[in-house]
Amino acid sequence: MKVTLESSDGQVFTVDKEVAELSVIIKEMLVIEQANQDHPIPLLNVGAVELAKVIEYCEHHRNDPTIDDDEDYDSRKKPIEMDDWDKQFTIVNKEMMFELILAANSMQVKPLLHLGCRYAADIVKRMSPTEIRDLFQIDDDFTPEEQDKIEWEKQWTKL
Amino acid sequence: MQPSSPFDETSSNIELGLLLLRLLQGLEPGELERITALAAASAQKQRVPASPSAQTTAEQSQQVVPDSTNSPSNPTAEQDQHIMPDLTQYRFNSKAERMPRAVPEPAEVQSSKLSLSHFSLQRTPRQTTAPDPEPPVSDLNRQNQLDRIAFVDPSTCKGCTCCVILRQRLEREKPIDKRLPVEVWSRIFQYLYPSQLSRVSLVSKTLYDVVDRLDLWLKVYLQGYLEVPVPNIDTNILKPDLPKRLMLYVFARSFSICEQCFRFCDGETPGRLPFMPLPVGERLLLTPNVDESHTRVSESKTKIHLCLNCRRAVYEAHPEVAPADVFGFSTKKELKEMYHLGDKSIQGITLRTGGNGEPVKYFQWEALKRARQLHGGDIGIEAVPKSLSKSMKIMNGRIFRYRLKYG
Repeated sequence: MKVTLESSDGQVFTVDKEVAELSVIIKEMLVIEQANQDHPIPLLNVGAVELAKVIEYCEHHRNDPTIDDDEDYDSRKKPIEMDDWDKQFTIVNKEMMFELILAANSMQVKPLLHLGCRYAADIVKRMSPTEIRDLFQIDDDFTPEEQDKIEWEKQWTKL
Repeated sequence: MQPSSPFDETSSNIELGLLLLRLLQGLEPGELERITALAAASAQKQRVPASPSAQTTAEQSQQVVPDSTNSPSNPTAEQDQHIMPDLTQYRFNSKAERMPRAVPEPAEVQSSKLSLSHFSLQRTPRQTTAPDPEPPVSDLNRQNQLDRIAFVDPSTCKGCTCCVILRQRLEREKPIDKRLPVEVWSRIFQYLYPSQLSRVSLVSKTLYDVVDRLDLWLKVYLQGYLEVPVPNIDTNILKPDLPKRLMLYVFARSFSICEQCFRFCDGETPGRLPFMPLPVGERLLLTPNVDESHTRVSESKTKIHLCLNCRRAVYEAHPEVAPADVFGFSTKKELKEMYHLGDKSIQGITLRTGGNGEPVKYFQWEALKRARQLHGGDIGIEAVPKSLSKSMKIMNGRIFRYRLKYG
């Protein structure tokens, strides 16, 4: 069975139902809207480029068992299950990984969200604050007083 | 009574112009033409009543309102008096205007009517939309009704496609720390160790807030200090005397908290340094990297402080390589000095008995392996003779400063 999805800029994608159901949101929508499936499902927060990538990911992971979504800090210790395809996927789509995280978050594609967050964590944890700011063009919006205030908080690693 | 302060109007007009500009950048050519035509028309309309508006408004309101009990010394009363006619005018005008506006009229024909209608348009939003006074927005909204481009505040409007596109466009221009929702950030931060989090929190205010509010700190606090939350049904489930700024408190005590198991290591006794969290290369921990290309921070900064148990586990999984000069034999005294091994742990190491009164010598490499196991890696062996007093002094100083600030 096929399902049509519409991105925010109006592009329509047709995918298998089981592929689309990796997204929790779409799965719930399909349950509600069982009667009229002629209309494409609108995804207002997801652009066409990202949606194509998300679908590509879901196509590959269509047969994966669903992972339990535990937000636990012990996940730092757990080794990540990642096959070569996933690795390739993240490296190829490095530039738009944060867009994909947003898309995965709004569509609730849990495995992709995990992969993206893992990737983002990898980037973020290896950089100094200045480097992160440069990379993502984030403004340093601390006022001088706040700078003073957090000055001694920096000391964690300096012993 | 002034219709509206010119400063307000121009500033909001500028804002509106900027918004429009951004919108226009992403439009199709056909749409662009339509909107420029619309803008020209509206500009023509606005030009007519611009100068006399202040005078005419005053005159008209005086005509409509009978000047009976109006005392000029009471400004609120005066204002109230004027609100009434404005509202009636607005209602009247909006009804009357709808018909002629459907047919495109030349500006000269409308001008007589417009001086009146423009006045009401300028005035009404000030009274009707008290919480969010943006006169031009409602103005434009009315003008665009015919063209089905409803220009509402894009943060509140959810319906029309135009706003959706605009909102997405604005959203895309935001920096990444504001674009990702908090829950996604906290999901990302699950994978970071506290020292890494402290570094990330210095990037921007948004990230600082996100890091500050992680429930990781409560977990560290409760687990690290073995303070089991008392199930207190009346007031607070958790312990009532929680530090005000958990994150800062944890940072202040960071020296004695293992970053992996969050165990609190007691550093008060001298000579216990190898038991305390010591820096371990982050690479050894079970976090395979998805992407290696971003390794920028020097190796010394990516070290995680781990307690003895965690270090032992790490080095068991990733044994350190043997140095080149380790395959000799040394005496018991030398081993004790080099590797800080006790008599008990030296037992069982391969030994070589020397004749002629020479002392018994032990195989160094085996001793080193045993010492690494005992002290948790080379770093633990190095730490044995060192003193804790300096680090404890730093930590106590921090805690003192924390208490000074937050009680």
